[in-house]
Amino acid sequence: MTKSYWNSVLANRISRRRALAVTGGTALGSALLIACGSGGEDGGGLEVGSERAPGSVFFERDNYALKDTSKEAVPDGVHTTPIEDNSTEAFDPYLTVDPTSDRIRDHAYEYLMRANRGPGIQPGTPEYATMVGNLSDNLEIADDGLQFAFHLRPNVKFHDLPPVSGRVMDIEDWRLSLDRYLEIATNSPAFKADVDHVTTPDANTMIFHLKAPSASLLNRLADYNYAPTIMPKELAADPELAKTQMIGTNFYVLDNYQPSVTREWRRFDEYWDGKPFIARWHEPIIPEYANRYSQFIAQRIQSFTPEPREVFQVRSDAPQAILIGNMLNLTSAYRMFFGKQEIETVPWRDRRVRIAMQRAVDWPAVNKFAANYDKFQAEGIEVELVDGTHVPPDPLYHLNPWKGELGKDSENYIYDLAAVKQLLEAAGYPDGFDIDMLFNAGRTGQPPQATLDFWNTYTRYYDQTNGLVRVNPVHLTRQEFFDRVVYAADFKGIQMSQPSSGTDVDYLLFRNYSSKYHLTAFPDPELDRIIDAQREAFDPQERAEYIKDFQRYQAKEFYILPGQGRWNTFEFQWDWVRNVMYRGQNFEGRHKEWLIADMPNRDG
Amino acid sequence: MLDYTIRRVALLVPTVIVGSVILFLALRLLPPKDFVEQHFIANSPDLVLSDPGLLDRQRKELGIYGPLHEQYFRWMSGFITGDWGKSLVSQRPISEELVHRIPVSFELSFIGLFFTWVISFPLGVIAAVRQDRPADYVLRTSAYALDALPSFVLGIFLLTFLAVNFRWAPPLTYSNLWDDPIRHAGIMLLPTLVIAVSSSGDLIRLTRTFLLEVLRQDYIRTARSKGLPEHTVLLRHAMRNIALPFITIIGFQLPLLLTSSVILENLFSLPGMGRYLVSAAASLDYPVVMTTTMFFGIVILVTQLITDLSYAWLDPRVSYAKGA
Repeated sequence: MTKSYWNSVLANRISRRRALAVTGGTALGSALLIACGSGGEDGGGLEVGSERAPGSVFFERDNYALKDTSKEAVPDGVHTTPIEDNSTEAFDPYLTVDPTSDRIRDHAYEYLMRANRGPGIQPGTPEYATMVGNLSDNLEIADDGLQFAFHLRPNVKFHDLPPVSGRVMDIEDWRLSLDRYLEIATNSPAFKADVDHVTTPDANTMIFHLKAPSASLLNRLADYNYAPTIMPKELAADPELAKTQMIGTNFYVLDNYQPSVTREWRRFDEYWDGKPFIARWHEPIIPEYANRYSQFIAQRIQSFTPEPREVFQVRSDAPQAILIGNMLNLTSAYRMFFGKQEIETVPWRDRRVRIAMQRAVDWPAVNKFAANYDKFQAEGIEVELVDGTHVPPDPLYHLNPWKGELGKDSENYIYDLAAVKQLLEAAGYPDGFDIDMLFNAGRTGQPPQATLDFWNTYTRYYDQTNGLVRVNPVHLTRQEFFDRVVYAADFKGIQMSQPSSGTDVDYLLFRNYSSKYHLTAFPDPELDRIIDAQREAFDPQERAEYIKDFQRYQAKEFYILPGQGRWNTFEFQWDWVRNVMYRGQNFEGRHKEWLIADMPNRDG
Repeated sequence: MLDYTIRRVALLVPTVIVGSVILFLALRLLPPKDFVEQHFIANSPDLVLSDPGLLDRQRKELGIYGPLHEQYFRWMSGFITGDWGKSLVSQRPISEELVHRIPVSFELSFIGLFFTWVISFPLGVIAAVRQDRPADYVLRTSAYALDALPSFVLGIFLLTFLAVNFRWAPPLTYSNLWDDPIRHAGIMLLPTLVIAVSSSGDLIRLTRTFLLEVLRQDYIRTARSKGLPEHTVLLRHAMRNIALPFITIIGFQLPLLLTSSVILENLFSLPGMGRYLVSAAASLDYPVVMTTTMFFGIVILVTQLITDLSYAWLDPRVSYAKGA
């Protein structure tokens, strides 16, 4: 299942460059193959060829098994999905810093490459992990891995809006977009850390010249937090216009925007990958949960995400809705890292103290509680649940300590109060120790009750160590948390369990563990060597082995505590949309979706 | 009357200035205080690290620079001259946004107020006329219950009740009255109903109290002793004399309804000022928060001014004249 999907890259060399079929991401959806951790086994997925049906439970990972129904498509209609967040930033794709805005940007603007999705492309397979052409119709990689060449897809048109007015994209659009991206884009620093410079040797080609071979760059070519999108030169030359007007190449054209109220898109009939079936997409901004719920029950919106513990109430109110188990995130892991203040003198400078902290919490039990696992199981729904380790749960490299896959050090992850006592005595702290735990309590400093409940669930375990691990909760506002913890790691203690970002494991490893970044409290040359090695290993199996080495190393050192695991979140959808298996990492593929003829409020 | 009017209008100016200073300081000194840090450090720490001058440049571009008093004067002079600036988040002119939103908030408040009176005035009269009878007890108890019921609780209840039992929810997209009257009525129906129901408790009790007080007056006893029918006594003699306290109530109710629109517009997804304000507050969009709050404040002050002037006009005894 987890065989090398990179083989396809290596097998497709073209003279001095490697071929397009460059495998990318870390198989976002291969969740079905995992069945690891203490939690579920297979999540009850449907057989290939099965269809989503009203009232059924369907796991998103099984989308690949749906049939292409394009020939039966009924064109037009309005697809209405709610947005919860009220904030929408300026439209300039290079100036948005809020992740929500990044997603708005991705409606209109496109990346050079995209993830491969469609019927029969199963998560966890080489096809699924392949990055395919988008605005670039192919990609070649030099043998030494230091040059990535992109080739302009012909006859791609920009939106039919002035001043661009449906012009065909050319290499100048690419060049000026990259110039501006490298100069000002909020997501460019990580890219610039990998790419030395960019050239356009002819009217069809752009080359990224890398500082060092970077396997992770491949996986991040459609990562909103990393990769450049392409805007027309007219907008690149007029920043004020770019702030208020979105003119891209994607199949969504912004038709109506009212801050905090609604965003409405019309289809771009001349989209390079074919005219979309759906005529309009409406995104009303509905911040209030009760209103979203009532709009869903009244069938005015297509989807609704309930609070985890209200899933079954919603199911009884809307028995014909499909309960969708969302895909597990296989590129991000939760982690609790230590601050750098006084790191030479604090008790947790000793690895035995850090391991004692890990073993003081029964994380599998915490995860099951948070996932509402038993309730789902009682209802016959197997939740996919993977307990937290030092890496994301990608089957390509993930080693599961609860299955003994980290050898004797596996026990360092496992809850055992007697071991906590022994470890602390051995480290010279028989009476235990005090440690601040910093929590991100949101904008106001007053966390929601549900968040508090979850924190209490795992911090309560420390209270049960008979005073050995004395955790002092420190609630910070979001601003304070980012200032002291995320931005500078300038604190004494440990941060709450927080997820990492990015669409490749390197993002987690480099930012949290490497001494070349500024956050780690425990710089370690051997760890740096492993992180650099995985970064430069284009062969997937070779890279996976380095990441396994990393896990074995961490299983001894615990420079960071893993924190919580991953499990399915659930949402409800009415059975109105077809061809959902084309959905990619961003919005690509959704132009092939269509709406059934007899859905309610089809015309909005 | 002219002297009184001038004095009241003159009093408005320092009130606005003091209010604006408090508003400005509250927003700029209370944590979290910096929009630029909030956005860039939270969302793009790598960029901040790689470009030490970035935060200052962004502050300059967004007009958040210089000593606080300079920032205040820059904002206040812009507010007075009609240049309300741009949203830090959307980069769109605030005035353009408010032009569309003010009518929504005002409509919600005025229609809500109208229905509040339609519901509560006759019920208050009934309670007074049927004093200490079962109808009075029922109405008084209901009025207390309505007083204790927050508008958002009633709103959430109505939304979920109608959806679960009747598969009905208000239209998602707002339409102007003249574009699509039916859709407009559909979207305004529930919030105005919520305002009317949740605000009527007070008015039922006040109407009852005012009317009972008037009904005990000598001139009412005289009217009755002259043999006038009870409805004539009520309509011609009693009602007219409760007009004055009602004007005071209107003066207080309109600002209350305007501010409660902040909650109801969010609950019912109405594109009014309240929703704009909440959205801006959540993202530390100072110019929007300050301008919208100032606008709310001025509307409230002007409403109270009009109330006071009406009061003085209706009752010449009310005056700021010395010795009065």
